[in-house]
Amino acid sequence: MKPVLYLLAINCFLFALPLTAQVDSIPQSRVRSLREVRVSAHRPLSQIGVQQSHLDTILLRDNISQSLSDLLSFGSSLYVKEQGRGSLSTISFRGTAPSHTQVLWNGISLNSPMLGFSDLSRIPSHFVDEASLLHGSSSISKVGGGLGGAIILGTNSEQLPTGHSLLFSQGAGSYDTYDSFLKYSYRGAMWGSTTRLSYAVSKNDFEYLNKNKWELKYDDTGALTELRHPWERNSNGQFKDMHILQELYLQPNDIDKLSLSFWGLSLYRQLPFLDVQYGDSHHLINEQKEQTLRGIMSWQKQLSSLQMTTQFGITSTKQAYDNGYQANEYVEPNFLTQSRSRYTTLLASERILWMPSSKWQVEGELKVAHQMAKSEDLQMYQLDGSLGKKLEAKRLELSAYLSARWQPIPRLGVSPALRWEQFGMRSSPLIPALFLDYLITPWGNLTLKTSVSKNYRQPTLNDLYYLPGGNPDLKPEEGMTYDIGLDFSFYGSDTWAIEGGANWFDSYISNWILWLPYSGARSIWTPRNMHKVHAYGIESHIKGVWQPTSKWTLNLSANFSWTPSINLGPAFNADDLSVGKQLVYIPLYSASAVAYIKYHLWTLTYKWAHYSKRFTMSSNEPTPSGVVAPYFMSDITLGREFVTKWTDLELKLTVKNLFNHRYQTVMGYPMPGTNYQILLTLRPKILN
Amino acid sequence: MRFYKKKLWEQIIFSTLFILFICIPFSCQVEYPEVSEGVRMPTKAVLVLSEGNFQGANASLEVYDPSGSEEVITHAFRKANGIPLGDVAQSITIRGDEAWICVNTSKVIFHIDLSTLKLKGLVKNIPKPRYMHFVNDTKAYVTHLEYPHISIINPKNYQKIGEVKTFMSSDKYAGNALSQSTEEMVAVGKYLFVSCWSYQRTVLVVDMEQDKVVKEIEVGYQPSSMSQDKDGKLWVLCGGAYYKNDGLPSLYRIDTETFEATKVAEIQNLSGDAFHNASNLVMVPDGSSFYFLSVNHIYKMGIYDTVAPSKPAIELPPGNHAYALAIAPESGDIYVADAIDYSQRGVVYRYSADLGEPKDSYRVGIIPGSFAFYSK
Repeated sequence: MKPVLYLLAINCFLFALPLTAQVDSIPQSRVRSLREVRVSAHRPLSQIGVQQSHLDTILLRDNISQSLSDLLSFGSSLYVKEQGRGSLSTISFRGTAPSHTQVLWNGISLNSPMLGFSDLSRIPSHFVDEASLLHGSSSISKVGGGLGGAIILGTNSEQLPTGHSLLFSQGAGSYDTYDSFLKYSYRGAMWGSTTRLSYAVSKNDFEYLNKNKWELKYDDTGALTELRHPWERNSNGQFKDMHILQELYLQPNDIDKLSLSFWGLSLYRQLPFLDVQYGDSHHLINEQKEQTLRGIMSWQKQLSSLQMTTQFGITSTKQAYDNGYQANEYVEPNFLTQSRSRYTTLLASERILWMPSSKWQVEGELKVAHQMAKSEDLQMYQLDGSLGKKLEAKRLELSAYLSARWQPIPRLGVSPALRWEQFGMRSSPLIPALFLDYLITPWGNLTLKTSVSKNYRQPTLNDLYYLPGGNPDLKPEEGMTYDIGLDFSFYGSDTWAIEGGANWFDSYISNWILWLPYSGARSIWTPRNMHKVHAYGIESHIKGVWQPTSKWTLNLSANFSWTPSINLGPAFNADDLSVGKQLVYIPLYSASAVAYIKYHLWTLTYKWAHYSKRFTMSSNEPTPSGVVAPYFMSDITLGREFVTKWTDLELKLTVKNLFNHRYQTVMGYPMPGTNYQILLTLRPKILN
Repeated sequence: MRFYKKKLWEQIIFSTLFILFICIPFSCQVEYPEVSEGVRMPTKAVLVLSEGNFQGANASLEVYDPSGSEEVITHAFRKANGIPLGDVAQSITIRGDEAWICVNTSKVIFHIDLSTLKLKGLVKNIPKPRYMHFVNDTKAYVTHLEYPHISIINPKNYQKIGEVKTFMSSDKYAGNALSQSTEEMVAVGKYLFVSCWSYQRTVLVVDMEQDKVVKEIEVGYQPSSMSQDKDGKLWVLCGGAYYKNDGLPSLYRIDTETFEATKVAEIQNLSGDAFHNASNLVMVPDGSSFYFLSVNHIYKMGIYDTVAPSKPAIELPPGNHAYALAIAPESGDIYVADAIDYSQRGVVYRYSADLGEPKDSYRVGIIPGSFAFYSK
């Protein structure tokens, strides 16, 4: 009953407002905003049965300091697990593990081939023009292994304004945080170019009352005289991120379109300490460095009934992680870990879309990726010959996809699909999927969507070859997913529009890979195919836009998920209480909402997110350290545009954690209280 | 600039929306109460220290009364002090009516009163403390992970008063000695024997009068637990390299007078498990034999045996992940901790010294890793 109440509460609230709309005639400019709600009476063949949700452009453009994790926290009901800005941020899609969500940017996988997941904090939102989520089975149309789903990110040359344009944003915020963003673009008749630069630096040393520690005072005899909770600073949370993205587009004729993108990034991050850390941060070293270059060349050929897309890509990443202790500045630090890894992926793909008639579509894709990874721990290499073996792994990955889409009658769409993957010498069985949709009634475009598919996630290079502990005998994780849901969309007199949907999903994942020291005390952590997991639940979303007059725009969106994710065992032994319990760090309920109000030159954006409690123990016992408390997060931004002869200017003031909520998403890692950011954006007209 | 004049209905809608959004988070705030109950310690107690998960901040101390009531006080440290124990609790050392708890990743040593478990003081900013050994009331040694010194602290004022450099100039690891770590300690006369576990193969001999390493004894891969037998010999259990072909777990016996080490036996991989290991050597009270853990089984070996046992001494429940082992000094009862899936509260099994059926079992914290026995 509880999820239904949640759903009703959020959806009713959002429904209530637009239905009171008065209908006026609207000027042309408002049509653009209404398109944010993707209302369409026509159902494209490519979307048959597909559960896809788009992240709001308002969110994407709201703030240059946002990463993808911020976007997803407020713009979806996915669970984002993070340790504060600039720290590791992973995602749980439909109650699955982070490695079960595939993240693609312009067709390149952003998932680490070694770890299997993507750190969302490393993806700035302003490097993304379009973002959407493919839920569960729907992800197999783009990529295999997305047992939870896939996040599809991309840039879009078609959004570029004609001629030269320049945008510069400078933000300054609490805790010595500075964000800079520069975008220059040119679009001519045949070609275009975009350059984006992003730089973020922060001490990130927010202060908090540490209720998990006592500060003690003693008398001369050493007897305790006073204890109190200390005010402390997040003393190891500094970060410095630099990104550069260069894109070139060439369209010599109506048939061919070429594009070239290079994304380089250099990151330095300290990893925050736990709030139960009693060491002096000046002596402790816990930091990461990363340099990555991604390049992709794409050629799209559009013939009358055929679209062919050829892509070549490369990703090269160098990472370093140091963990150690330095007694003082005059001595060399002692390291427990000095991990160095480098991996390179070469990619080539060909996607062909054939549209023989308005009722038929056939799509095929062949993708080849060559993964090369090297990893070593300098400390282990020096100390123990048996551990001096560096991880050096190469893997050729092939993936083939074939799908047919058929609309035998206007109301019905049917789409069978097959994916096949070969990872090194391992071949996954064929991954079949079937997607169906049916337009129940044109009133509100009420459409039933359903799908069923299998899916496999191959073990990562670390799972197979990590030294010590990798297990080359691992089997792929195997998923079976069923989906059924309803989508709707209403629009009226060009002044308002609403779209939404609710979906039931049911997934069984077997051979779940679990890293444990299976041999007992002081043994090596190693992965094994252990559990079967049943992840099921409800996902829903609703979006609405209302433009009663030329000066007013009201945009609302909300998401809600109920995601039980249950360990079905087998139990390790009779004392194992984890069977039948929710997986750790997966909230049962999550919700988010964004309200955007534009009035003349003023804007007000309110963002809200909620996660229910998360268990930290597989047995779900509600002990003091067994539960991370639920929380509600609110950010608000007030903006004002100024139009001058030489430049358009926008000033924004953002208040994050508006109600100074004391919260954690990961136990032991405090999050900042109320904090502020001021942002100035300039769009010079001089180039126009 | 011409100001736009708002209509009344626009003002009402704008204000209502703003108020509604402001109200949502206020109505939903949830606060968890702090935990700060007192603890009444039993006359006899088994203290079980659970490591918790690395970076999980969920270490805990449980107290078990073995003398009839068999009551378990869970999260005893938190109940007594209102704060969590920290991240990766490594060892507990009892001295009189007080205990000292080394919390490895939190870099702290807690000093508690054993009548209430209330905090008496703490040593903070101490690099990854592993074990503690008291020389007297004003001097104690603390070993560390990833720090090439043994710290000397004054337990009276919680201050560090010195260090013992843990590598010697002739040390073959001198080139990278900065990574040397130290582990368990056993005192014999004026000498302190210190095992160097993490990726190393030495036992150091520290002269406690000079606070100096006087000898380095080479043993097998990754020596950890040590115990002295009734003949005064020091037994060292080496966990072995992580791959079976690179160095099996082994048992060494050190003559504490000549510092000569003898390899007594290699511990064969009887489980077939790819990752073989051995840990937790504990001597029986009379010093005539000892137990140890290897791949989730308990083995027993006499001090005059020359071959490692081929069969487990106790049949533990199938599917267990045996993580810690201890013998009660008075009763000789054997305590074995099962970490189960390393992500839920583990279970301790208590066997009588005659190795029959378990006398008792009870739940403790996550990854129970060490025991201490206390009687008033």
